[in-house]
Amino acid sequence: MRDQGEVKRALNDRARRYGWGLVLTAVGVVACVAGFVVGDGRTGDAATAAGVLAGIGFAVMVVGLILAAWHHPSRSQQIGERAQTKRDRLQAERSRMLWTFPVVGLALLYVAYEASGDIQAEGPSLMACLRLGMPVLYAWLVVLMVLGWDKYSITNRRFLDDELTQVFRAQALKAAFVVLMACTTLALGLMVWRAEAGIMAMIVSLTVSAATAGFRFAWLDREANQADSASDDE
Amino acid sequence: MSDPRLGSRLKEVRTAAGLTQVELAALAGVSRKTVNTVENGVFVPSTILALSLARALGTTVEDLFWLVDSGPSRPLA
Repeated sequence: MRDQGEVKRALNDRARRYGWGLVLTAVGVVACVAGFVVGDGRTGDAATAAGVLAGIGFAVMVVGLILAAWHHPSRSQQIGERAQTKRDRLQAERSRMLWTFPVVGLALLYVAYEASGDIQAEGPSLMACLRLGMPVLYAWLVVLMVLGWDKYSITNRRFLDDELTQVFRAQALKAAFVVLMACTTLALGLMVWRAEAGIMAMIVSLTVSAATAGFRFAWLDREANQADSASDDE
Repeated sequence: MSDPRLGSRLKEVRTAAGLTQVELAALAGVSRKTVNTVENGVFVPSTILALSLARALGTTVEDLFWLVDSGPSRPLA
């Protein structure tokens, strides 16, 4: 019901701005015409004042016309169809985060790789361990978001945890689990061959698996949005 | 997510009721994307969602969805 109220409010706002646009246009026309009429045949300061009045009137008329055209009622139906409810906005925001955080996590693999080299060369230090753990931290963040256990999802659970989300979640975790199994198997093979690479292999495995979950979820959301756009074009 | 066995006339009923996808989504308590994916046959709704949609449209689930091999329960008024 809150969503519906929000759409109604948005449409009312549009109607009000359209009205203001018409008022501004009328005021602008009156000022412009008055400026020309008053200034006709005058010279000096009176002519300057009339010119300024006509100029301001013209500017106000243009602003009013733009405002009225932009908020014309004929666009209201279209806006109503495309308007995003709070639920849609929150879900789009989550989708954006699920594209961004895995990318950051993958980028941080380089930081972890350097930290891994430092640890092997100089022994463990607090900073090196923190740098090593950063991609894993992001991996956990992404997984928590996909599961709906992060603060953002918990706060907005009513809007974010609908049926389509549950289907996306299941699909995303399925893909992530397959990738986790494959990556961990490869990591195990790598550890047998080169034990010192084991830590990095595990970090890559966790980060890539979590990124898979995030990307898969966001991709499914994107596909649903594309179906949405196609239907709107009908 | 889709199932070819499910027939749907959610879009026809919604349009006949004069509702936009946003309005129906708000009434049923789901996202507009959910309504759209159900209308397009991309997503098969659960019993609860089907009931919510039917209630929001003032009709029955059988009027909105049917098994393709049996056909709709009754023609659209």
